[in-house]
Order: sequence, then structure tokens, then C-alpha cells
Amino acid sequence: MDSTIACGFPSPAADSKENSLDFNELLLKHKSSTYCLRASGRSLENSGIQDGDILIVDKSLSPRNNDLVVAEYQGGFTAKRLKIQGDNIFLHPECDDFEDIIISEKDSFSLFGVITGVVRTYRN
Amino acid sequence: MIGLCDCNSFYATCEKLFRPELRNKPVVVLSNNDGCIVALSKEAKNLGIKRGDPLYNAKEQLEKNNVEIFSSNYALYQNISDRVMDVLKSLVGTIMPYSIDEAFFIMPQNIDVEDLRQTIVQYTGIAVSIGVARTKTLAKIANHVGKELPSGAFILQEEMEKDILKDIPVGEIWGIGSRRAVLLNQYGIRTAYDLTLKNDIWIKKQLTITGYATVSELRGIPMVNIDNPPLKSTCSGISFSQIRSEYKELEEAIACHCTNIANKLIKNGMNCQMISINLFTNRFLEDYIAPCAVIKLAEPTNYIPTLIKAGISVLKKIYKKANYKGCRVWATELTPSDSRQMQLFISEEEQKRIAKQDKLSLIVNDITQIYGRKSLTCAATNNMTKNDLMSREKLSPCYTTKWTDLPIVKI
Repeated sequence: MDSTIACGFPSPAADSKENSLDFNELLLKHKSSTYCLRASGRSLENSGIQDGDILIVDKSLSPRNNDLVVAEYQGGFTAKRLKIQGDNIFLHPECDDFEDIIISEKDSFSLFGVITGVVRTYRN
Repeated sequence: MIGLCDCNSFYATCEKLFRPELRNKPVVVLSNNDGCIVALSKEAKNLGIKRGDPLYNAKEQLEKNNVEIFSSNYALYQNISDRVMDVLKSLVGTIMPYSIDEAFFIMPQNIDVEDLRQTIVQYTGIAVSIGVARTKTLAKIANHVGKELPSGAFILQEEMEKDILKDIPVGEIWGIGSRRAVLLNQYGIRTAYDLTLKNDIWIKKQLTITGYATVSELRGIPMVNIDNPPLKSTCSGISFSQIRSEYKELEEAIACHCTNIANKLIKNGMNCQMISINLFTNRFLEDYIAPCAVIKLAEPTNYIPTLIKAGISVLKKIYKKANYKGCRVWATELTPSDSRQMQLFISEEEQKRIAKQDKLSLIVNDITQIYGRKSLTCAATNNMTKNDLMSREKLSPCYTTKWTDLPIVKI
């Protein structure tokens, strides 16, 4: 498409042109290993994650103590704060109405990925 | 050394990715139109269910064993495939994708093959196996071996080749079909190793030059090239989800398939000059008919409206009222769009018109790439796409490509 014909003085900033902010650059550090999941429930309320939020989950990161993670626990997905104390692993909720989940060896448990961001929109 | 990375039970694995409760459960995926089983998880394989079984034959067994059934969700599989390929590429450099679920690559010397596999599985959530060997054909065999190992990976060293090839029946060699296997068995050639012992002249005579390439690869000499051959013809067609008998209903269907074909041509940078249409009723009924006709276009094109118009003109010729079960559209006489041979004595105006069409095609293609296939269609399709003509009752959500379909995590 042809753009408008410039007349008058050339912009003094033309040489300093940079691309606009790109949310992919901010939120998707590892595009191919990042999945989006939708949160449902209240157990992370105090961490700021609310019902309906979109969780950005990066599978390429190694989980560390105190990371917010998505885990597969007893045949379902759950999101909690990961606590590693010695050999013990806890899934810690961020809401007073919920209890810690202590992972025992006989549980079916695996980490799906680390939550690296949350997206919420207020008006569409 | 050449590596082959192959996703295990790919479609079934994709369906399980966001369904943790299905982790160790049998899963099958159905073909287009939910006709027959095209993919199975290993739990489903263990039940004795076979790839290719028609759904109506297997239904009882599937229900009895609580097998989870899915319609094929190509939007999901393609997206996951892209991710696996991207991750593999980021780890090894150059890759040569061979199909939606496998890619060859040059194995870097400083990488451990088990680490490589583990990383791909962790990053994508998709189980893969890796085979590494001197040639692509041997890498395929190494991959078969690796798939059965707990590590999921296997390096076929030169000195082990003889022993391994002795265990591979000729029918399992990449590039040797079942008919060739029968022929080879008649000559007493049972294993891949037996085949490597035959002399070149005999091999070329019995298996042609492509078979000779395969045997050379088994001997460790790279000969198989997997560059995609140029598209020679393309077809779009399917059984309808319900019987269509009115002319208008068939016109919609033909328009959908013509659009689909045009999109395939545009994607491959090709034009076509011949369109064939075929309607068919149920071939198990007495009044089975399958009318068919062809039209030659004035010039090679991939312009959607021209192809739809051509398709509809053929339909008008062959249509008579009947209970049609499906239709097919073929495009043949394909030529690359950039080498269009203009008709002789073409006027300047005509040339301008064609250039305009090409430009419009590109714009339409760009728009539908961004906003989806339905954002901009020809009115003749009644805003349907090929997928709407199919029955896909067990379709899973498009977890990775639609914001409305995100997997849910309970928190």
C-alpha cells in the first residue's frame, strides 16, 4: 500500500525510530515451551492470581523453591506455590481456606511447568 | 551421524497433554469424518486395537475398555508439532522435518543423545524417541530400537550394525513396502542384513534405483534425499456428515473444497489448469452413482473465485438429484505460479487483470492466516470450511490456538 506523501520538513526523530512494545517479548521468553492455561478457583488469591486469569506456564525452566507452578497431581492439573524443604515437597496455597498438599511417594505427581506471568483483562 | 527424532503415538500424545487424568489410559484418534482409527496410544495398542480399524467395527471393544475417543484435531497437532520442531532445532541446529511427527537432523558431537531427548520431552510435554546412525535409513532402525528402551534413545554404532540388521525383517525397513518384502522373502532374503549381502546389479533389477538407495543406506552410504517432491496434483474431498441431495447443498460443498484446494495451491506456490469433480452416493446401495467430469481452465490459476466458478460449472453438468454421501475435487496440471505461461496473444488488459488477481489472492491469504479461515470467504461457500462438512463429534478443544479453548487448571 502506498503511504501518504511527506511534504514539509522531515521528522527530526526519523533516525531514532524503534519498534513499539511487543507483549510477546515481555511474556513469551521461550515461545515453543510456553503454554497458556486458565485458572479456576481461589486458592492462590493472596498471591494475586484470581479465578479466570490466564497463566503463562514455561516448561523449559527448572522449578525452584517458592516458584508458582502448575503440577499434575492425582490425575488433574493444579497451580500452587512450590515449597522444597530438604527431601519434602509441598504445594502451598495462598489462601487461608486451603491446606498445604504434602507430596508423598505414592502420589501421582509431576511438575508441568513454572508460572512466569499472569494475564487479566478488565474490559474488552 | 544422522539423528531421527520421532514423537511417540503423536496424535494420541497431543490429546493427552492437557488431560492428565488420561495419562495411562487408552486413547484413540479417528480419521477425518470419524471413519476409522488413525492413531492409538500404547495402552490402546496393548488392547489389540489396530490402526485402520473402522470405528463401527471397533466400537464395542472401545466401549468395553473405556477407551477415550477423539476426532482428529489437526489445529492442535500442527501447533504441537511446530513446538517440537522448534525445540529440536534450537538444540541441534539444522533439522529436516520429514512428517508432522518426525524430523532428521545432524547429531552434534558435543550433545548427549539421552539429554537431548529428555530436554525435548521436558520443554514440550511430548514423548519422543531418538535414533542416531550413519544414514537416514539406519537412523530409522536405531529409532525403532530406541523406542523400546527405557532411555528412549539409541545410537547405532558402525560395529553394531551387522548384529542389529540381522534382527530387522526386510518388511520393516524404511522404503521397503510389504509387496517388496514378499518378493524378497521369495528369494530367501528375510532380514535387513541378508539384503545388504546381495549384489548391486541384482538389487537394481529387483528393487529399482530407489531400492538400491535404501540398500546403500543400510550399508552406511547416505543416498536418500528427503527434499519434498514438487506437488503434482492435489485433492480435497470427504464424505458428508449427512446426506446432501439438493443442488444448493452440493454447490456449497464444492465451493468449500475448491477454496481448500486454492489455499493448498497458494501455500505451495502452484497454479492448476484442470479441475475434476466427483459426486458419490452410498456404494453399498443398489442405486449407487458416482458422476464425474473435468474442466480445463483457460489459464493456470490459484485464484479462489475462478476455481469455485469452474467447480460449479462442472457440478451443473453432472448434477442430478440423488442422495449424495460425499464429493471430491481434484486439481491437476499444476505449474509453479512464478513461471506462468501466458496464453498467446494475451492483451495488456488481461495481464493487468491476472496481476490484480494474484495480488488479491495474497491479501486474502494474509487475512485468513491472521483472522482464521472463516474471516473472509467466497459467498458461494455459505461461510463454511472443509471442516464443517465433516462429522467431528469427539473434537477436543484447540488448547494452543484459541483463547476460548485454554486448558483449565484448578487452583
